[in-house]
Amino acid sequence: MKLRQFICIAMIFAFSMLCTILGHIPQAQAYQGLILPSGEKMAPMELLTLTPGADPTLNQEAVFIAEWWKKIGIPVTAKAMEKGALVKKIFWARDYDATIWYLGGERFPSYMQYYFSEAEIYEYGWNFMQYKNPKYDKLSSDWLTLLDRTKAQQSAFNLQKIIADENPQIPLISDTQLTAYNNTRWKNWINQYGGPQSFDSICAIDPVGGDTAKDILKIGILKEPDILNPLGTGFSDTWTIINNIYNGGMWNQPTALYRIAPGSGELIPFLADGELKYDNAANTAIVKLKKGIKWHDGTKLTAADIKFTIDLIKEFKVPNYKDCVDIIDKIEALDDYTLKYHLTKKNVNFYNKTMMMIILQKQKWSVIAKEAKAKEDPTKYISQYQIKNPMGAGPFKFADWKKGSYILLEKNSDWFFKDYTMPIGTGGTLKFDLKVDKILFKFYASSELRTLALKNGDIDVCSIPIASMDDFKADKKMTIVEWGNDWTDFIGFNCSKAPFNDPAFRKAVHYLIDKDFFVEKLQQGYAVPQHSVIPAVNQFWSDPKCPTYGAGWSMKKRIKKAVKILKKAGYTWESEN
Amino acid sequence: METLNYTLDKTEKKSLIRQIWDLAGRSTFIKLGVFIMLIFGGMAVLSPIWIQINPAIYDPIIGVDLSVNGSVGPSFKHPLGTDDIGKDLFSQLLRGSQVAFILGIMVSLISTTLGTTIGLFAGYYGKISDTLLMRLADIILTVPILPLLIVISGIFGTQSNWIILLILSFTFWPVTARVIRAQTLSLRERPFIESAKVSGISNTRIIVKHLAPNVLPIAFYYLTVTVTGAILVEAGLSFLGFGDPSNMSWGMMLQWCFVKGYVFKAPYWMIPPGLCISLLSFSFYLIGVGLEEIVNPRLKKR
Amino acid sequence: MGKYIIGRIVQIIITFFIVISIIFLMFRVMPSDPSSFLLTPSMTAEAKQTIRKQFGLDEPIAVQYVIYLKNFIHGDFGNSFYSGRPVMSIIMEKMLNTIFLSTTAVILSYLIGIFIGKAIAWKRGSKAEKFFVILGLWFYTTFTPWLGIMFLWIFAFKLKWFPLGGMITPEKWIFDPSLFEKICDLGHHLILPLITYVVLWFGSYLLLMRNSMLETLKEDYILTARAKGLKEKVIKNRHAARNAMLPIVTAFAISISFSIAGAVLIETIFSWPGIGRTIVEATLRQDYPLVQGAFAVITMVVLLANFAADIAYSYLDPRITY
Repeated sequence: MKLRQFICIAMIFAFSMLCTILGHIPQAQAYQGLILPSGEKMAPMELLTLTPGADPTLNQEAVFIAEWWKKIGIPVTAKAMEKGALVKKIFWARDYDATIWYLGGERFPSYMQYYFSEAEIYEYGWNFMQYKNPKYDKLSSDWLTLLDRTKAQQSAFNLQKIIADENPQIPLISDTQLTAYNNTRWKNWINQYGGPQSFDSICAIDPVGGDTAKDILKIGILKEPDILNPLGTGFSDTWTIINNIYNGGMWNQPTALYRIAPGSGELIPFLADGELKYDNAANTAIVKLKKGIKWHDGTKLTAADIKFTIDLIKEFKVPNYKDCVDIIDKIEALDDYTLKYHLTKKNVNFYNKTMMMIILQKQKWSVIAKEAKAKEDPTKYISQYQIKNPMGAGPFKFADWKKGSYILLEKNSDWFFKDYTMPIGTGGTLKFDLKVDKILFKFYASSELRTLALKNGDIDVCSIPIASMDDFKADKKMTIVEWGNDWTDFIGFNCSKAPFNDPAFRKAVHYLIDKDFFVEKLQQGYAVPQHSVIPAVNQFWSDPKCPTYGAGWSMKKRIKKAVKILKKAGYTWESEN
Repeated sequence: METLNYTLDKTEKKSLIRQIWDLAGRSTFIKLGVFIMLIFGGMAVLSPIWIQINPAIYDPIIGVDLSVNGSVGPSFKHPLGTDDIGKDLFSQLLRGSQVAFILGIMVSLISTTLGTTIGLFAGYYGKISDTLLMRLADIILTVPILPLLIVISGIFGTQSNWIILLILSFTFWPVTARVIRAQTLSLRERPFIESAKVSGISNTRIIVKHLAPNVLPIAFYYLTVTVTGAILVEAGLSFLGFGDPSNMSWGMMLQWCFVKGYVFKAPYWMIPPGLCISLLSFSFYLIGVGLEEIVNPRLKKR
Repeated sequence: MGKYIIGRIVQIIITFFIVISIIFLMFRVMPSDPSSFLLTPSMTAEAKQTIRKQFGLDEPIAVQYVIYLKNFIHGDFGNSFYSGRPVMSIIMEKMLNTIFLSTTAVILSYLIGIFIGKAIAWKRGSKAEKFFVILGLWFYTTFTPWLGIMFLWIFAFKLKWFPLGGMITPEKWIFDPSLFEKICDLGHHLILPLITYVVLWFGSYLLLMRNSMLETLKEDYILTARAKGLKEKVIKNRHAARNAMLPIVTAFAISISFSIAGAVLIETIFSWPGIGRTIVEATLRQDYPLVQGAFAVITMVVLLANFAADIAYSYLDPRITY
């Protein structure tokens, strides 16, 4: 190798670096340099999003939206951040322009109130968009006191219309979950909200051919649970495991006193016996319990346990359940199976949260509570208490947890609801025949390996990536189930900052977002474009008549419309072709 | 490793570096390494040209081929196929070679320069500066690099190639510094340095004029070896999801393949980036080993 | 010697202290907060503050630091934010898995590397030497996760010889198998990550051994042995190899410690529940106590291994005195 050769290489490097710089020169756009009505040129803005590893769809959405917004001269760049850093930036520091985030997961969409009310614009509040609208606040707080469901539904529709019109947040898409199961091992899966791995489905499935040797149901999950303590955990993965053991939980678990029917939003009694009796004048409610429900150790589940749980959570101020108990002034156990709630104010949270709440066994937890009281920080102690052997009244008992590998649950043969016919709303019923003898939750480090494990027969059911759809469709042993996710992605604007405080600006940029492109390209059709803040899968509460902002339009038409709106609101451009 | 006591022919008129270049032409390792490196250099150059064919389709970040549905294999239009949303994989691979080259070479330049300077000063001046600098080097060497980088990436919240570049440079210098220091320590006692001192030349001048040229061959060796380290660590970081999300690197291509679930489905997506990472770092290491054989006379053939 | 050892111990303690302080500081300047991960839509602001208080995050940094050091001296790394379990027990559990995999791997690749390195140094300049050096280098610079995925694809997915990852087969373990069955199952899961490890690592030992051997062969005593007319095999094994091993011993101790830290990528690919994967996951969840603890333990292992290597070296090589 001679010096000349070295110089050659050096020149190639120099050339390649030059080319790199050339490659980054932005393309010329028809509209350049947006000028605000105030006469200032719009400052460069960032559209925040999550990293590809944390959420690939959210990440790619931001990249494309930034590209579209650039077309009308908005100086925007997409910026990906780690989840924790993003939360801190948007929720706490409030130092951002626009961000992609997600919302949902509640059957009763109480977030319609707390996401947009002015009262939530304090340091850690939920209204990180800092959206202010006194009219909306009045409507939404009234909505929470409406016990009549038809009126409440109408009121919720009105709320959604305001948001859809003012656009403090732009809903994007909500993905369709794909779950596949091995149909040579288990049959009669129920597809409802939560998919085939939901509680109801597990209690209803039957082994194929009635072969008792196959009675272990093997489920692949990605995240190992943190803690089996229902007071401490806030992770949905953990809840999919422990709602088979405990009754009730943080988010509308289907095993509490009442459960919510998916289509109609009405309450169906589960542990409770008959309908809830609410006394409007005295603001009290009477709930009766079914007789004969037993804990795993054989003792009876009585009103005393429920009273104990509520008192415990009130006393220790357990943060995860604060909403559930805040509205309760006092609770009385009239007898072993009758409870009387005295409420402080009229609030639908009583129906939608208190009635769905966790129930703990008095006998076991009074010991833990006593220990906790002696500690420096009782709340921390009780919510981080390491429960070795969870005690519930659910269909499965805890059997084994080999850290890093699996969790095993065993059937509770004395389960009260075994062979019980459960109404699931809109006239349908479901029989809990409980044929599963053991549930084995296996942990996988990546969804890739989990999908392969399903294909190999190592597990019976798991959710699968869109990439594997073709393989699974071709495989006769596999059945794929699609179910709508109760979450939606959205763009949230910092409404306290110009120009994002201008509804006209927000409306114009909404027109530039091609949600169908996301559905078709990013999700290959396995998603639904969202026009309301409440995901469409939440049939009862979601307003189907929200404006669609140009569904099916071409990008050219979208740009034209956006420019028209902006021009009308007094925006101009440095150059316009 | 502590004293790479090279004894190239000092009587010759040619400079040390020139001698190394001449010897390098005869080494199989170096020839092979340079050959592979040139291929990737070509790829880096091709990248902007390829994008210019049709930026709407071939841009590695935002280009999408709308006529493609899902991830498809290699074709005339897309030599390596596309990813699941119709982005061209070949253009991503080309962009990746740019990133790897620039990042790898910048990191090795910065860290080797830093390491050589620190090693020279610590070795020449000794005493407190030596102790302090070498303890600092020890501390950095003690902490495992990849986990440390993961934690630092988490700290920044958002990642850019500049941050990765800085951190890598900062964590890679101690290896070079240690060896250069040892070398300087032995050189310091040589007669020609002693005589330079006696004749009243300033310390800085001694270091620059007399010590530096003598340790350069070793610095060269570390220059090439550090590139390998930098490329592999950056790829590992990107693969684990701590890379620069606004750009495309080979590690990131693998990560996208992984998060989208195409690892065992699309070999045209999974194999090329990994192969490129390995080959490029291999080529630099080959050159390094070739250089070591020249620089270290004890490895010469019998 | 005694003075040297005491000096080294003091140095280790100081280094350790500096490293854990840096780690502590790094996490406190983070633009993120662990409680952001526990926020759920049903949580009020007051509840959020309660959670911050539980983690001690509302105290000033100086106070947090003093508490942190005090607990450290008592061997208390605190509780994980994520699971509430004591960090020490999590680390010990994961560390054991990592050591099980990586130590086996390092020893195996060490033996293979030394064996080939010795042989090719003797055949200096031959085609076999070039081939092995290039092979070793190639694998040494291969991108770890990529090689892991390729192996998984070929041996686990296509040929189905090995499981797809993890450490055990839960189906076998839930029915209380015998010890022998347990060991067989563990071994079966161990093979693929182990092979990946060995393939990636043997190259570095091979090169080290070859270089060290070549350097030794230039020594005077080898020439003397040759002059005495000793057999080549005797010179190779008795004289050269034994002395050439010296630098490798140091490398061995250091690489055991580094392999524990470097296990991140292999563990991620093979779903191995070890310390490397724990660090990645804990970092993503901003679980400070766990990352701090893991780092402290890894740093300690590295420091002690280096220390042991130095001591071993001075015993093995009589030329070195302190």
